[in-house]
Amino acid sequence: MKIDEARNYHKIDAVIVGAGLAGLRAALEVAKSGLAAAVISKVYPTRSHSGGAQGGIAAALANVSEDSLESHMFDTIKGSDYLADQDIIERFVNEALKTVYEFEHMGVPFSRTADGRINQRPFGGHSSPRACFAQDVTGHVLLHTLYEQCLQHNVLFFNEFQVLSLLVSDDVSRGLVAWDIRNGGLHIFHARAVLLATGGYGRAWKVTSNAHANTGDGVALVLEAGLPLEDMEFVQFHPTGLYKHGILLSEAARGEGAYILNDKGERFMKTYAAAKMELAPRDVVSRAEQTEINEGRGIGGKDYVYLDLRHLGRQKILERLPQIYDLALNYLKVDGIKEAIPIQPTAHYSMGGIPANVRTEVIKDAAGTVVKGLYTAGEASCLSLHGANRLGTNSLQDAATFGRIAGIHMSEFCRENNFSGLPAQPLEIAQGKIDRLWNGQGKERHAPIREKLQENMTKYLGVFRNQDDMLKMLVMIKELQERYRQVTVDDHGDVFNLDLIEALELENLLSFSEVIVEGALARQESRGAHFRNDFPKRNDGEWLKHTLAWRRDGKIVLDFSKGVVIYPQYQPQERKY
Amino acid sequence: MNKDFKQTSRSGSLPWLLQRISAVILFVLLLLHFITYHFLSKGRAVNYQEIVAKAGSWWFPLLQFAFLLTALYHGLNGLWSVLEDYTANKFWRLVWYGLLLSVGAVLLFVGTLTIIKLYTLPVA
Amino acid sequence: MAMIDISVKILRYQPGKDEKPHWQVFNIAVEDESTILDVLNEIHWQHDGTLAYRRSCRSSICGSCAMKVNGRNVLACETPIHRFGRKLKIEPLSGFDIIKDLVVDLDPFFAKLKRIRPYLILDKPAPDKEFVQSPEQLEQIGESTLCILCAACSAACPSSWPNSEYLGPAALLKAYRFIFDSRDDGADQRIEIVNDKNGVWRCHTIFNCVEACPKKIKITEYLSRLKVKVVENSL
Repeated sequence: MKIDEARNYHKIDAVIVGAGLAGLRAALEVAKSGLAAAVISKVYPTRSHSGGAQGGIAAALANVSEDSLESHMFDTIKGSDYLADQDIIERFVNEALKTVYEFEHMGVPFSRTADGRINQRPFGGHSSPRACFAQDVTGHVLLHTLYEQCLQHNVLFFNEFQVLSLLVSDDVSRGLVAWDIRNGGLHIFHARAVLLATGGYGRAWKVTSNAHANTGDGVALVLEAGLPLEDMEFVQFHPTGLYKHGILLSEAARGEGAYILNDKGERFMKTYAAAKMELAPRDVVSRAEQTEINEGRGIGGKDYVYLDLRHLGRQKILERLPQIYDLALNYLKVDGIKEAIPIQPTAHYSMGGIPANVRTEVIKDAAGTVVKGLYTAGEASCLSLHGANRLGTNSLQDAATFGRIAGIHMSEFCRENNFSGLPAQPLEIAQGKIDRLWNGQGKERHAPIREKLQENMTKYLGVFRNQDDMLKMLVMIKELQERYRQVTVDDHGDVFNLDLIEALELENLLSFSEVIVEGALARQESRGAHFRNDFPKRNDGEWLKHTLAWRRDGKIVLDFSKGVVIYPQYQPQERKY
Repeated sequence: MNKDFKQTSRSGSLPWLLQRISAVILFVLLLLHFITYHFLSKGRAVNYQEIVAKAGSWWFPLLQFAFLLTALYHGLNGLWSVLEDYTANKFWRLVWYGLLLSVGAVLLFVGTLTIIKLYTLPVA
Repeated sequence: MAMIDISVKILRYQPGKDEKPHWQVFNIAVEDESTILDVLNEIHWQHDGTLAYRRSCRSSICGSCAMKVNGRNVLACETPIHRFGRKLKIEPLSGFDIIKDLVVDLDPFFAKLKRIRPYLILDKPAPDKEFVQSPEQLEQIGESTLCILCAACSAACPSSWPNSEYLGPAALLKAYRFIFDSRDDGADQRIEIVNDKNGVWRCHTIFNCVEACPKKIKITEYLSRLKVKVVENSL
């Protein structure tokens, strides 16, 4: 039987992997243009982790005080520690207002000012109140609204499908192969254009705000396809992770005026960022916290500090920060109205990812050569908008804006290009992965390997890094990759085989974690979220450039010839808050 | 596109409204009943003559008839709404509906007879 | 923090292997501060890889892990085991077909959502900037927008159990959310859809949905407001 006659063969103009904000926004754009758009997601769309974003979406609407696009642009550049590409940021701030008004017209229930306009709150690193918000569930309402819009415009959904391989050859994307989690079986998706919007890779860490789903699948698939990744060593640690759980407590708390306190009850940020205090960018606050903890000023000498909401008063807490209040109460039995909440830095956002240009087209080298028909947006991508450190509320804006831009360019591409031919054995790689886990002779299980990886990434690749720790981590990753070859799974059933999916995800975690460590080892400077005790200064002379990394013959190959796009008026300066 | 979902024509909004209105009327009637029957007698035993006098007055059958109608509607409509939850089949829905209507008709008839009988009780 | 021994009884169903669901007991040791999800992870990772369940965010916002624990519908991720003591009985949500173990088929649930046209319908052109909506107007729908579509409400609703056609509390709440949105012009269309024998009139104000809702949304109250709106509209 020919492939295109198979039951599990789908021929669709645009196939979008990931049903978060970026994926859904792109799908909506494609569907509205009259083309067929399919979204492949390993969870039901409303379960995507965009819904976990709490604090807001950045746009200089100037609804509550003076603001400007230039200010948003400068804040983002400075926040990125000058590593972000400024042409990307320019496009981003120019589109941001439109993105928010569009969301409002779709029905997003934004919190309002007294005169009925979209309310805005302050956020770390932004010089004006710029975060448009819906209480502290902004990501949730944006995600649900977009999903509903997609339902209206008849986007096709393939829920609970795990993508196992990209069909890319000769720099042309042809489609992909995915496993049907619910019923079992491999499906071929033959597409004119493919978008990778698979989200971040924070699950490589033990203490993380990320969902179980955030295993960086798209990132790992790109690496497997022989394409590069960019700036993978830049991972943001969020300063207010719920102690022990790592669950996110939004920066909105500090936007509303919350304090961070050490064991002595001091607002210690005064020694680290006297002007911005708790509203310094996340890399700065997380480092301050970790320093306090390392120097014995954590609460009771332990590895946490306090987030204090009490002075905000009951009414403000329950009106503006209800989710944060509930999370602390449910998980730690701490009543945020009466008690301070234990927090610690938690792996949060992946600045690095799949390199792409301003049209969201995936590129394959430092010269910017495009892989035809392959696109990326959202946290999975590295455009690079956030450089070495992302500002809060820029992520939802990034996902939505570049999701829309991706949709526009994909639609154009689909109209101008026919389907490219599939390889002769499209299922080969995907089938191989499944067969090995089902029919292998090894006795290793995936859970202990993942546990060891996550524990040590938190230990060795955290807020502070140094060469010795990272070398240890690198050796360990190689060992774990070796052990992974012996992994087999208990469950041999076709239907909802969670065992199989988790094992496949672990392969991805192990693959890109190596890139993170190699990149972090090579980059001998401290910039944004990447801080090395052995190289504590930013070094623009040598390192004002992006990291590209390939896997070639089983080894990670790094390239630093991709420069940073810098405008004359925004030259790198010392970064102080 | 949603037309196919409306397989049954009558929505249920009127019965819902009437159920609430009949509930309010029942409440008022019940209060009147308690006042005229029990509270006005202030706890002492009521004799036959007094009841006959009351039953023969112009307002008594009106009150009783209103009581009968609203109680029947409220009770049977409530029952129907529960039966509807569990009966998807059109045939059985008709059967239940017919049965409830018949029960209603019989009770209405018997009730009306009783009210007339009370109204026409001999004085001695 | 201390380790405790617990007994976990799980309703298992492996398609192709089991004819019908059956109970399996796991006696395991876990930390006393564990959540139900921690317990399931422990079983799945250390004891029996074949156990299937849904989970993702583990911070009660994605809605994946609604299930029945000791008779109550909860989100596994946010529910500490100490709420139930040392004996746990875990089963899938009622009223849905079981796919495998604790995983149920939610496609009908999402299909109902689509039926009520869950998107802003506008007769007027959108303004250049945002629509003006007062905080009071927002307040009308604010709580209803917190719904995470976990399906705990529908699974707890006695009206939903015998009647798979009933729209159910979640879809009706979504209808409320749009009908009462000051920006929306589609109330008439949606009222026609919910004003049906299988629509809002199947709600008998039983309040199970409110009790089951992990987001503490007063669903029954909103459905009552919806009924009044429908009656006003048809008078």
